[in-house]
Amino acid sequence: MKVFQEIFDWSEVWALFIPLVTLFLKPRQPKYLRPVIWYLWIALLINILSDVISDFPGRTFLGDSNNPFYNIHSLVRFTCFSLFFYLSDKVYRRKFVLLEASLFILFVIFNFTLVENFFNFDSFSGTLFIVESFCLLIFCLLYYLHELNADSDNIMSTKEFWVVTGLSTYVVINFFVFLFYEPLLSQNRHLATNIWNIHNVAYIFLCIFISKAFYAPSLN
Amino acid sequence: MHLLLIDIWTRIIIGITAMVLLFTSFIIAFMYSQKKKIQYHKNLHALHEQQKLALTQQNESLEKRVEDRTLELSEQKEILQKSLKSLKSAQLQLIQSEKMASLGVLTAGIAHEIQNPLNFVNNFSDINKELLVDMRDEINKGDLDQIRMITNDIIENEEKIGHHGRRADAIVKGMLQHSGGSMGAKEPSDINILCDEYLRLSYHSFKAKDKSFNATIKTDFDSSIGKIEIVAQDMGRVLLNLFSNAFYAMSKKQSTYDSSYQPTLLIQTVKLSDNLKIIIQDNGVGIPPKILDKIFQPFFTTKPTGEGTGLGLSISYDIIKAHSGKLTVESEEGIKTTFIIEIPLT
Repeated sequence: MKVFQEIFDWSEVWALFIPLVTLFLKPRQPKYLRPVIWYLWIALLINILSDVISDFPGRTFLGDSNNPFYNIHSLVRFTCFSLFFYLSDKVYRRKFVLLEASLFILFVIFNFTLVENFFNFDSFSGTLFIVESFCLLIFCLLYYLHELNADSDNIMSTKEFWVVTGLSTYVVINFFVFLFYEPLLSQNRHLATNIWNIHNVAYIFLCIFISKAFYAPSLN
Repeated sequence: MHLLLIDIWTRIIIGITAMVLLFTSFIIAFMYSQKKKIQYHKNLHALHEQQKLALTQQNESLEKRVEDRTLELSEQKEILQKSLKSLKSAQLQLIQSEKMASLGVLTAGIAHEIQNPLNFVNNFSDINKELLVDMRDEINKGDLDQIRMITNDIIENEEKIGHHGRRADAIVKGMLQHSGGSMGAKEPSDINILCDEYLRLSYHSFKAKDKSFNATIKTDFDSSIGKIEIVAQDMGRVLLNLFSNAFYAMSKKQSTYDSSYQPTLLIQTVKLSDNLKIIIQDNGVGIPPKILDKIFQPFFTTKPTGEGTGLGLSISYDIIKAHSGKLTVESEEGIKTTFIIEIPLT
């Protein structure tokens, strides 16, 4: 059982290989998917480091807290997917992406200046993750709204649809995980650990959907 | 260290509120855009209906115009067909008139030509009657030698009567051929004889109308021509037209000139390597250069009203063309006119 839990804990790493192997098989991808590909490689690196710290706290040169890596992961994820939405140009106007990204940057500065500590080794930057999820969810909903109004015939056949669906699944689930994870850590650590499994499941879904996006035909 | 500590209930409220706000915004935005879309489609439909109506009206108007125009065109077509029919009928009448006119020209000549054989027939008939009375007397006397001599004379006279009778018959047949219908079949004919025959007919006819008119007629027939394939009655019609015109031109000049003027008509036939030329030259009034290129046009005439149909030369031109030949004219006003007919020998 412990082995399964260990495999599950490392899902943030091995799940990324699903889209990366697919990418190896289908290397020709449209330009707007490049930020997603960058994200996969960066996320792989960050997640490996995070999981090593998590499994071997204080025994490596990386220290005993992986929270800064999660913060970096969050910023990278937002940046890459914002770029993806910007390049796919299916959120009505690119100005929306720029505006929201600007607001997010302001929030990040505000958050790590006044609310949270970026290098907080003791806890979890829940506010950053919540806001990031919420912002990405806004992009996803804008995308769906755009596609619904455009009366697209092949909405499910497009690469963007699968990326956005994976991302929206991930952020909707994790919005609540991130919202309650911090108080749970202090009140019921065991439950918090179990809830993190939900995050991992959502992450596997995200990777599968991105993999599907690499397979889907490019109709753009 | 946390600067913002929020309890779990507040987090639940924040989470639910955020999601409710987000999805409500989504639904409102979707409904709003759908409403806009429906309105757009409505406007589009209304515009489409308007355009459809305008198109229907335009179509109806166009159909009406086409119908009117078709009716107008069919009426015009009917009028044109009637005009064409009446023109064709008028043309046929004119051609017939031209034939009759040329026949009229011939009548005096024919009368003159027939008169001679008739005189012979009458004279020899009278002689034979006298000879038969003499023969009856000699029979009573029983002088057989005298009877034989008178019988021989009667036979000779009968032969002459027959000869002149046949000549009159030929003249009448020729006249009938002339007044006959469309072009007949080509047959070997002696063009020199045809020229001579129609020249005499034409001259006598003209003289019958104008007794004071006298012309010197010079002929130079090429005897090597022999018989050529022509439609004799049509070629006769051409020659008659050209001779009549020549006599008319000379007569007109004679009426204005002094007595020193001597009308002279030259008819020449020449055999060339592959064709035959008939040259008809008169020293009449000539043709002014400005009308020279119009004389072969139908209904063109310089004769006073009632004297010419204006079809003579036009028909002549067509007849020569039908013989694969050429009819050309050269003229010096006040001096001479030369018509040249060229017909291929084969």
